[in-house]
Amino acid sequence: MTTETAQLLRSLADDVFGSQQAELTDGPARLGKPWDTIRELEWPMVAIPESLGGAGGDLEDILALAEGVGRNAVNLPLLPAHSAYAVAAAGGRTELLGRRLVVETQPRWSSLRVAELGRQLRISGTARRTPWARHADVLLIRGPQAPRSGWIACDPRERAVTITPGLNLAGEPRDDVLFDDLVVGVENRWECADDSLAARGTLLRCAALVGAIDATVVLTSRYVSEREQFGRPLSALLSVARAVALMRCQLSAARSAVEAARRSPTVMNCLAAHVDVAVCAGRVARSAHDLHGAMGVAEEYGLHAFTKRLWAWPEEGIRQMDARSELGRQAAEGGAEKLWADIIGLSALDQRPRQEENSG
Amino acid sequence: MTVTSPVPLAAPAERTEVDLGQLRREVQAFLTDARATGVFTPTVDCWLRGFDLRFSRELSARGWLGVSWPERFGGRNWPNAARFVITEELLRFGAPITAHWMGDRQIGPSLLRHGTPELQHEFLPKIVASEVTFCICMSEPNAGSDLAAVATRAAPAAGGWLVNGTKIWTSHAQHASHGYLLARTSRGQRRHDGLTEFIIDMDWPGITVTPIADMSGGRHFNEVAFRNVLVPASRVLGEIGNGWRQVTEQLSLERGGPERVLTAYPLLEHVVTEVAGKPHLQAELGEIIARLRTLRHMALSLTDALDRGEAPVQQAAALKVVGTEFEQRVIDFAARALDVEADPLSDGVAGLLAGAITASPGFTIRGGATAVLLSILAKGADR
Repeated sequence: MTTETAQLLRSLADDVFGSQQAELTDGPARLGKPWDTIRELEWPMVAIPESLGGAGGDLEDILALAEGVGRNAVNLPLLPAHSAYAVAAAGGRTELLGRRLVVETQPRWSSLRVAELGRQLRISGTARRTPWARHADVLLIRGPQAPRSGWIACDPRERAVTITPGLNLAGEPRDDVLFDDLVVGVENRWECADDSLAARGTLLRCAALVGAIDATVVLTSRYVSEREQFGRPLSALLSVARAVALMRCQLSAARSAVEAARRSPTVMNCLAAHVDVAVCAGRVARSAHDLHGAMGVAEEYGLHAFTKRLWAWPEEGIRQMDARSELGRQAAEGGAEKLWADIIGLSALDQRPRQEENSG
Repeated sequence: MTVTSPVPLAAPAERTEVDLGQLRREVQAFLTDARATGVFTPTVDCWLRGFDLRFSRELSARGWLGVSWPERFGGRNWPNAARFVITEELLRFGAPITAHWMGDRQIGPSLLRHGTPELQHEFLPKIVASEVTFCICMSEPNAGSDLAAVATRAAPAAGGWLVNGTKIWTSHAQHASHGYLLARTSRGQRRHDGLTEFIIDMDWPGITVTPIADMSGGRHFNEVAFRNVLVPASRVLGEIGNGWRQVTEQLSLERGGPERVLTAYPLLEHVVTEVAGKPHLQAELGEIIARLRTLRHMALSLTDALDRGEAPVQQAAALKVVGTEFEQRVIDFAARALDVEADPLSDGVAGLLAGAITASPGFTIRGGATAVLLSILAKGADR
């Protein structure tokens, strides 16, 4: 049932994002009409329960939209906005869902201080590489209240907040936010025990990467079948056909990585997807440029819109080296038996019949 | 990537419900005990190098072979997911499962799909009981990756077919009671036409098995020569001349299983223990584990496709390409991460590593070389 909705959203996303292409590629990243269209469609609210002010649907649905963001190289804050709205809704802050753009920032905690004085929180420090901060109406600061995840909502337009614009490789806003003794009431802070929400942003990014990998493979397959050298299409060369087939294998693996994490979206499973999809992304980007020759780097040819994302996104959120080390550390410290239990628990194979009942 | 066989392998049948968690616990308990009491020592590549008929019969006694087959053939009509659970536990323990492997994995399903009722009744219950063991007579000296070049000839004769030719790289032909044989019954315009599958007794007159040692000293490979071997007409598997399509389906069973991911798992367990004391190796271990999770999910999805009655040729090829690359990578990593050097005389981890390294070139060759699989994937995409 839900798979059908996801399919529908997948093709709808391609239609809608495709029709916005002209506005989206025109100049620097803005938050214009396309974003209002996306909001009217309630896409940022998909997979947030209707009872909490969301649009309903489940994780598979929002992942289908995220994939569309990647496949169409869309420069809109759908992913960070969804993550933020989802944690706001889970915290009962449904009023935040009405704000035009809310984004989440997850600063390194060495770089931020939050002091609690009476009913006030005083925030100082820097949150680097915050997506779309310059356009945000509300900023959710992800807090360090381990083991639970906590958030503080604040107004980035306060005088105590300075935003320095930055971009990722793909031209998406990644701004540094400086807090100089920003004061917010304690009522703006909440906690959330839902593990899957903490990792939501990671998994969405993985799905977007799958979309970008997909587009890269499609573009490359088409190019090598149309471009002729040595009197025949490039795809007639064995080494070229082989390279394209390997790209397909990577796409297949990346999809599988996301699907595995979707079935059980714990922090560790999403981290594993983050790592493995990144490997696929890197290999596909290299191969695509190899096969395109000089054309691949030309501004007017579209490949770079995808490959820049394949290079940028894997290092966002959690750096790859940190994610890999964390996975390896947990495996080594937990030992072989626990590792196997984790691996087979991933798909919840043994409990599958019951799970299907739940999702039906 | 969704190209599947035009004809379903089998109608998606109503399956008997089984508690997979309970099944897994039973298999784990049995294997833990068997390993502790020395019934087996874990090995890498256990499904090709662990021929132990007694062990297979232990599994038969517990009802763990042919579990997805109909009850009238000794099976349990469980979903393919049940076979997946049993198989992946056997693989990760490195248990000796070669004796029943070919029968349980591909010959049984081929018989179910293409066999006459007589063949099904004769062989399926015996595979379930480990009363027969199968070897696969496919490759030939001049037909390796290019399987359609098969030249072993089956000529019509009184009562059946007269077979002449030579097969090679036939693992465990010296132990097997029976064989699967791919032979040419006619020569058509297309080289893929005119191939036919047979089920043979390995002790029939005219069959000569000659061992070929591999570089580790392993004795599983053989050359199998056929000289005027009379195969009864009743032993034709499926349609005469339709062997190519049938064997292609069989290969998707051969390529898409968890053994394309877990062959080196017993070695990985040692690496995990070792890395606990070597933080600088954590990141690489993390990357390996992330890929393992992905691959296991790919294999599991293929199992679900089998339940839906599909023969997912393309996905199986993709899994084998990335899965076997992963297995080789695990071994490369182990060679760097472990404190010992590979030593074939060692009965500890150094020996396990030695066996793994010398077995590893086979991973990307048997069951379809990577280069061939990539060409299947490339062709599939053109359709």
